Amino acid sequence: MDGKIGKLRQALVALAPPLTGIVLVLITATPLYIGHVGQIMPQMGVIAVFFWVIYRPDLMTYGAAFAIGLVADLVTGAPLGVSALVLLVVRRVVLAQQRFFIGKPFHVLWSGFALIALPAALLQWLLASIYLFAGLEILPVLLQAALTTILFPPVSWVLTRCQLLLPMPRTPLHNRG
Amino acid sequence: MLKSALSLGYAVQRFAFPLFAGLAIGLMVLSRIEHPAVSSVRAQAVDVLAPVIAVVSRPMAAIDSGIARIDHFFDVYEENAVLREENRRLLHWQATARQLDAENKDFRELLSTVAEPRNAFVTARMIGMSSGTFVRTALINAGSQDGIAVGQAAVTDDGVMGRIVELGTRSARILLLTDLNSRVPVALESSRAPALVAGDNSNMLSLMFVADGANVQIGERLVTSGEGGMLPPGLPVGVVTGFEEGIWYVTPFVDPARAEFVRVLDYALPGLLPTTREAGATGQPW
Repeated sequence: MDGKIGKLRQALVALAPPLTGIVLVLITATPLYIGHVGQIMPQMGVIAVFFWVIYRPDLMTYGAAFAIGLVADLVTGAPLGVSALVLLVVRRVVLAQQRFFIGKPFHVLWSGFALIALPAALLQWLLASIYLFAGLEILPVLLQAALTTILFPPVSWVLTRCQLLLPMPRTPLHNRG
Repeated sequence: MLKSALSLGYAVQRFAFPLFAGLAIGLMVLSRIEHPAVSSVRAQAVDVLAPVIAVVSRPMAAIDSGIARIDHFFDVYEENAVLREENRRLLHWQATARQLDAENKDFRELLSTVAEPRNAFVTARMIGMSSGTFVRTALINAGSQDGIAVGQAAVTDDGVMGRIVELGTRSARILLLTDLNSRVPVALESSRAPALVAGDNSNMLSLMFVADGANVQIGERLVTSGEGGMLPPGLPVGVVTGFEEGIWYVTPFVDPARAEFVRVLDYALPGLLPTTREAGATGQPW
């Protein structure tokens, strides 16, 4: 009995990062209209992957990043695989810098995020342009990256609450992948 | 035993990136070549996610209407004046419409005209919107079980919003007029000259293939022409608002971001279109 509950607990802990990412993606899939910003959707998946790769790289695996991206593509109607590929690249790049970010003050983290969000949006733009074989407008992409960066502090605050609920990993975290 | 398990885990870790990246690229290729499996998986996945989205969208909808209320509070005085003026004009139009309606009825009776099929419709809630840079689509919480089929028009009180391109059992996706892949046959309201409005993922539409000699002017209203049998004729689409580099730009009447409910019209032209479609059927790329 105890073993079963333990396993369930383990599974819940392992699923928490991808689940929070998926919920964030689903929330931004709903119609929200704030003046002219209503036409731009923030990339919540990038926030979730960035945050979890820094604090729990063991739980935000490539598979989890892929799953969040796939849900984003399914819900937004974007070409299947585009967001998934972008989030895989984000995980890889952030993982390489993970040690740098650990224990740094929040403004460093935020600046680091801005440096990731813009190339991530541009990569998505490039992939979609190739896919649709059309030169898509670039201004909305820049606005999207800006909006995502602005939303990073409140979203990461919520994710920090979630992260504090999770038990610490048994083995010390180190650079993997 | 333990060692081999560890090395297997290490191998998976090591190759996870190329493995998943390859999978993502494979999916992109499959959806680019419009593999039927992709669209059916997509429709089914959205079906499963639709109730979840409907739940998480409630708080967002509340925030949204809160913002709208604050917005309205500030311009309530001017809006009142505008509405009074509009009301006065509409009352005049109502009288005119009643008169024309009665006249029309008399003429129809005189000529024994065959009655046009009335549109049946399904009203659905908008549960998702992608107004991203790449696609302009919306999700609604009704699907094939509610009688919706691929190709049907989605309209609001203001006019046409788009048409159904992807169908699940209890959810459907609308391709908005502004999407890069959207082409809708229209007619100029004043001269009935046919043309096509095309989306380009911006908020404006461009007017294409205007008939020779048609006199397009800024302020010209466009309605669906009914050509192709996909959309009923006479639905308001947009108004011509600009002319740049030889292209007329059209502002659509419907702002999808503001729409909470849409009506999906069942415009059945007997014999023209296949009437039964399977769930998961799709009529558009990806």
